[in-house]
Amino acid sequence: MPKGLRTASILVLALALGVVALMGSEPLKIGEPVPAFELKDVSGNVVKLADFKGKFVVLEWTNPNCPFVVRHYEQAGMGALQKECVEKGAVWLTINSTSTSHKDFEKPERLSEIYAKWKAHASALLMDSDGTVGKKYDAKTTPHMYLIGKDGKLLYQGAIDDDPRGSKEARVQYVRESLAEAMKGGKVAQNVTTPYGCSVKY
Amino acid sequence: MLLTVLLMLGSATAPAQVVDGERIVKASMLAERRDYSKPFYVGIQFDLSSGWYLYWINPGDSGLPIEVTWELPEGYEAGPILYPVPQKYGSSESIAYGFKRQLLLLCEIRPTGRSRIVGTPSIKVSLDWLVCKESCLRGSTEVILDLNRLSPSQEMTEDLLRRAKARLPRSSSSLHGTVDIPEIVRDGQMERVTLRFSGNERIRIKDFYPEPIDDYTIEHSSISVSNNQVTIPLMAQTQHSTLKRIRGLLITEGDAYQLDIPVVE
Repeated sequence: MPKGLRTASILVLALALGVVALMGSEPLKIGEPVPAFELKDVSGNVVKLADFKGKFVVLEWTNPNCPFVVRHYEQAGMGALQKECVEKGAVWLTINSTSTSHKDFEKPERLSEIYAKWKAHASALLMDSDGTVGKKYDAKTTPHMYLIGKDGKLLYQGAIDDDPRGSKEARVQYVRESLAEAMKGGKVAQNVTTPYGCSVKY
Repeated sequence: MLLTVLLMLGSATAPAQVVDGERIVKASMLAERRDYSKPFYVGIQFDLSSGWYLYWINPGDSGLPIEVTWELPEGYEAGPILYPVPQKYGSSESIAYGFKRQLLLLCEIRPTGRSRIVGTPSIKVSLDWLVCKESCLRGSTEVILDLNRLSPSQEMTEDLLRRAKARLPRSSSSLHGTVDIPEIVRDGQMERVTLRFSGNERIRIKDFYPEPIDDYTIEHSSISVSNNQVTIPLMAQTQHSTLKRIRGLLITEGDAYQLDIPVVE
């Protein structure tokens, strides 16, 4: 069947079934290989995920104009957590998928200044302004966190912690706990949580 | 871009968040004028600037529900917060459930009968919210209502209460139909729960807005609806996650019904 006709047939079938879902992208599955990507960092250097095979990699979706991100950097120790994870041998990639057309967009040089002021310790701060990588990973919020194993398979995805309002005295730090479990060679017990924050500004 | 955000504490009517000179959220409280030795309704009203929205109890893929913390005089307790039916906003990447323009939350305040009520009570409520348009802002305030000195704008009249109740979801008992035992199809940690409906309502089902489910992440943008069934994809958060109930709003042509469906594994 020609491709156009096949597409039309699927559309007719969907209408006949009365399907009204917006049909978002499927989430990544725990234990399966994550999508490869390469992005430029804020200095224009190309960074490839494949370069870090054999290391644990943390992905953090960010937007410095999201109040949740601001709180995590200014009050909840995001920079210290990045430093801790990198010192343990993990790679931490911070990804900004904000569209250039969105009011929250910041140019690379400005982003660099903001995260330096916040004392960020990520291995790289990456630009994904067309949202290609964010959509591949189904990143929904800022922050939205992923932990990738040494074999390139997904170990954890979801929230950074269990404290969306920033009001708890003691919070479960999912990224720290997942990385610790994975580094001990065990399974990550809570390998999915519901991410919270602002929507990614695709 | 410089955003100037001001947030101040207020009494019965809290001043608004102000962004670049624009008022964003104004919170106030209303109450029935009546004998306060019997249960009565209060309303928490949010007036929002054009395009901005607050979130439902399930914010969707992002966002934050409104947090309501009561401070009631001795001898009273608050019932559940009653939300009107939210709107669904979003795209193929992200779904949000929320409210634009004006939101009135109802709550019944009840004398407990465990202690003697002295005088006319004052009610204090602390509110914490996230409000979004293109971008998002956190906000919080406290509102105090002195029931002894209700101004006309603070009075929840019979007509206002009736209209507010009409915006609440209907009870499932008024749904002219039945729900079969939910069917679950598992693929690793992904669980697809299908609710099948039969009866007069089945051809009018438009959508389903789920409430949050403990130990599961809901794939809101992949919820699908056909003529007689709703399928809700869920990601189990651990290997030991057990689905016990599905709660949410069944959205039909012109109505919404509050459902609470037990799941038998």
